[in-house]
Amino acid sequence: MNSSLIQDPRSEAIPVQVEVRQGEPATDSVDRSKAYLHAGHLFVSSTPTAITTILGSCVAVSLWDPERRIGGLNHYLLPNRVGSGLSSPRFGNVAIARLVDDIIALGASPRRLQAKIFGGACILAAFDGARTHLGQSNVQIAREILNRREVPIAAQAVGGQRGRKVIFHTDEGVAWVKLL
Amino acid sequence: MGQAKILLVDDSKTTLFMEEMILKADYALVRASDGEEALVVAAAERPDLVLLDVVMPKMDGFEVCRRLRDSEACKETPIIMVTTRGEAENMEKGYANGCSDYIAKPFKSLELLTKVKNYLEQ
Repeated sequence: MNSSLIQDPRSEAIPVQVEVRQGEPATDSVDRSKAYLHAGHLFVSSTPTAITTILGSCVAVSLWDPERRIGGLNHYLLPNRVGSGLSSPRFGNVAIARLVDDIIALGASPRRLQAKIFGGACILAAFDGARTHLGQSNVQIAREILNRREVPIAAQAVGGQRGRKVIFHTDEGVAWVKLL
Repeated sequence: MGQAKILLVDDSKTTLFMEEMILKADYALVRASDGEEALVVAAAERPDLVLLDVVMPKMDGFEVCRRLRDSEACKETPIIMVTTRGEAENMEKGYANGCSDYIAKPFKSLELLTKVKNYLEQ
């Protein structure tokens, strides 16, 4: 399998430093369950699972405990729950807090957690960077909350003008990212 | 400068009505109820953004998206595909045909408004 450092040349609004694997995973010996993650949901598992999701301006955050080999992923649409709206993982601040809580409840240690951030594209060639777009706001809230919870960000594949298909392996913490 | 114009494309009257309720205060709206009509309306109205259903009679949303991208009227127009939960797994095909983003039904009004504003208020 190829592991590489990826620079997305189209990502000017948000610097991209990515340590993930490009494309889609080859078949390997691990027998993984498969799950598709819809917007506004999250999934954590202590058994090997390949979680797939597709992102445009939405963002997904993965968490992984390398010792217990427990991993999880969320997928949110908007950065912050506003006003008295329903506390829903469709919002980044809720989705990330709930992902942290759920993975710890499954036995992960908060001290060992590693995060990765994906998505947050703005697919407009004419975007001139003069204004913060939705994708940037979605990425920023992830960085702020993870920093506040002292969870290190191991890799990011964010920004740019293209959607992404993400496949996250909960047992090995590897994320495969395909630009769409 | 006048209101931005959005083309709503959906064969479901309920979905069209819901989208209209959410967007009509801020945007000028034009409508099409199938893929072929969408191409005609897009050429005539030159919308600033298209909200495009995936499953429709005559021509599906992916094909409409591809044809809009090939057209003079919409080659750079943001196209947001509106999917059901089951269709969201096929959105790789939506991006391959040139869509800008997608939103899955059911969605909240704030989510649709925020996505639309993101592409129109540059």
